[in-house]
Amino acid sequence: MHPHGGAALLLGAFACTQPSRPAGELRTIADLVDGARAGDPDGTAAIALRGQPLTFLSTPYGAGTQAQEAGRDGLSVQPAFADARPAAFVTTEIWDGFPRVWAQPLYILVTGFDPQFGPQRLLGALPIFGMGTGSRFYSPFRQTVYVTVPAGFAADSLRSGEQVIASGLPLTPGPLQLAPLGAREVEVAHPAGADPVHPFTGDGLQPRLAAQAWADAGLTWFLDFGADRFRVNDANLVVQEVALFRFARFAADGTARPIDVPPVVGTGPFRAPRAADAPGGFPRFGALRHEFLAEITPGAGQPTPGVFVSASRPALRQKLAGDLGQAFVPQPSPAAERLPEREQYTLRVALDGSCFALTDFPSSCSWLDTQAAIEGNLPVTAFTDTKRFSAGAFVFFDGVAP
Amino acid sequence: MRGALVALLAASAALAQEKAPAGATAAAEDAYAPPAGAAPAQLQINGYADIGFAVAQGDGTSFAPGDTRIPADYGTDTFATAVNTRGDVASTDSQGRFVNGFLPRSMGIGGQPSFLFNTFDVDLKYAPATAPLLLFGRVQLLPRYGSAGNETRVLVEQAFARIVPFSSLELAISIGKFDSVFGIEYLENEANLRTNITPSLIARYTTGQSLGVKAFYRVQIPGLWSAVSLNAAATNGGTLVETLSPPDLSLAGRPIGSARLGYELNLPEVELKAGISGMYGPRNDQRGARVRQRSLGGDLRLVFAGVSIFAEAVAIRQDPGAADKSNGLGPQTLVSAFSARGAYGEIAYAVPLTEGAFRKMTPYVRYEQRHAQFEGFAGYTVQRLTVGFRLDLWEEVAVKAEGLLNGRVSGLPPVKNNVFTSSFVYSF
Repeated sequence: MHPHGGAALLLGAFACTQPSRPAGELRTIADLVDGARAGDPDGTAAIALRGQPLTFLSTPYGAGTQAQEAGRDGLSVQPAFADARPAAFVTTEIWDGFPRVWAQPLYILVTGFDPQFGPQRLLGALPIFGMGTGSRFYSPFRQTVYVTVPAGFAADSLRSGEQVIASGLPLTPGPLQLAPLGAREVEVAHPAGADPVHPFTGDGLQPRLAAQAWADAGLTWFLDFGADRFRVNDANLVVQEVALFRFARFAADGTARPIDVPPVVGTGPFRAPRAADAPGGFPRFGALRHEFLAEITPGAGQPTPGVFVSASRPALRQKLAGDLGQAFVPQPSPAAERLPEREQYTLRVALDGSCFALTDFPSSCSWLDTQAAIEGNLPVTAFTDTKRFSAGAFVFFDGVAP
Repeated sequence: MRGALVALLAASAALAQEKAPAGATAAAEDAYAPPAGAAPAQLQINGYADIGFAVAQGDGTSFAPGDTRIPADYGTDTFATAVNTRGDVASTDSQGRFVNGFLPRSMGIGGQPSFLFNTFDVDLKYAPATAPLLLFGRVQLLPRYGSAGNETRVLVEQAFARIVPFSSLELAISIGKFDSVFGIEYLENEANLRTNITPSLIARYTTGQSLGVKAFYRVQIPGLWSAVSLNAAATNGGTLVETLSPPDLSLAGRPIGSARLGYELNLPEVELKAGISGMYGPRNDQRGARVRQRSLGGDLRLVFAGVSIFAEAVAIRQDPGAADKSNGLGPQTLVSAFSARGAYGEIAYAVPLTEGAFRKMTPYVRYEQRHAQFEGFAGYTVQRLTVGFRLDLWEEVAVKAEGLLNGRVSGLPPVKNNVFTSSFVYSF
């Protein structure tokens, strides 16, 4: 393990925000892997290095220590809540100080379009990314463009966006696709010999193996998180963002510092929540997250928020009590402990932690687990815009592993 | 008008060439003293109007249909479809695709032919009789119609005070907003002075006016029919045009230095001028003092027997910066690393006509190439052939017409962006 890895893992588990990052910085998967190796908190939060402990599957979040597969680095499965449901996402890119993020083209060579089966991909042809990671306008958000090639077309004759455009071949817009470029040996984090899982619910997740592609006339690797995972403004290809809230408390110096509980992914931009857009359980929101700190230090005379942790997780209760104070981690009632779905509430924040002791738990609680609940229950002064975007697919949402 | 401007440009030199009054002490010889027979102070008002007619191929832009890469202005030469001497293009409409401010001004005609009112220029010049000063202002009205309707602008293109402190030295110091000192193309920034119509593909890096201070110093070498000069400036915006580098405010908080070292050979029948230029300082399209830019150029002019040959080359490199880009077109997004190089050569032949209305006909041809690359984008090279003529009517009117044949050498998708443009210029 890296000399500082253990401490960094815990510190960065949920709280990967570093407001001091220079504006205009983009970090891709490769940068985050390098950051993790250097002990950078953002890299450590996003990447489980090969052979290193998986934070949320190890003490104090789980029993014992489970390590990432030795041959590959992993995109950390980060537990979260979205629209009041357990969720989890990975982080593949971080933008600091960018005003927005755009979709870039992804060219797919096809020989034609079948009325029943759709576009017929050219055998042996790799996808062609119109923009590689050398540009800070690189984006994992892709507008697929089908390039119709004639019969006998050599599969590797087009290798860059410039070549595609210059070829003059017919172009047909296709679906939106989430496809971050990265290293060959990166996938969704998982223990050796096992599939990835949601750390708290135990639901199985898709591993997402890297595939080969062309970018800027060179071979590269990408992870395909599938089509229709985000939305753009049609007029300008700006990717639609949602707010992400990281709970925070005031530190001694008066600044808000994130705390180690799962963030809440909103369903729309800040102050503009929408109905969760997830047809068939596949969320089309949440892949581009505009990060905010949501400060929950109780004021005088106000109730203390509570973080739900079952008594069955004593190590985690102990850690949180140490970090936040015992008052933030009330003892759940026996009725709450008997709930079969109690793990779905692990590390969920309630506006008033005293609700954990009531017999009608979880209905007794005002949960801060939706955008509307957070924006509606916390004062306007509670929010700090970190000027950060992060990207990455939901790998779990409402019982579905898209 | 041409005569008036030539007189304007020569005013400081004339002052400099005056000898100190007889009997002055040695110490006083370096200081200016008004000549005994100084002319009374004069205010001159001159100017010109530039009215054009132009049409561009396609939609008037250089954006390739089907190219959805972003930013749209990083993968093509948006300056290629110039239609007037200001370098304004037929269109910069990207059809909603994001652009990051690497754009010229647009006349907004798209692919439609249209008459254009390019510039209405008024120059004010005041030369006090009792001081070695030249006070100059140039105000331009730029009638435009855009997506927001009437978008006419009033531009103070130049406003400076020039002082010649020593009558024995050909030294002039200017303070205010003035022309670039880089290369030679800035000498033809105004439509009435320019032989052709449109600026070169590298003019965007060398011809911008800016605000600051500059000094011109020239040493004559009569025995060699030669002179050596140095023109140096410290300004807000450097030498780039105003859309790329705002001249009226130092965003970076540090001046940009630029200079040209020139040599001229003035034989009775042949005039040869050559120079090297450089520019160094912070990029003024952002606020980081350590985000630098530098450029280097060389120029050559040869005039003999009615033939004028001009050639110029420039290379520029700009550092990447943060996400605080802002330029003459407003707030942008990211300060991307950028590099470019280019060169042009032009030959013109002035054919004397009559002493009446048709004074002179000057056909010309220009060829140029430009290579550019933005951070993360593939580099590209474009070329352009410009062919046209200028017909001088009396001393006050010029009629010009030219065709711009834009082409790609490498790295760009094909796009139809040739231009025909013409210009009717009258001076007063």
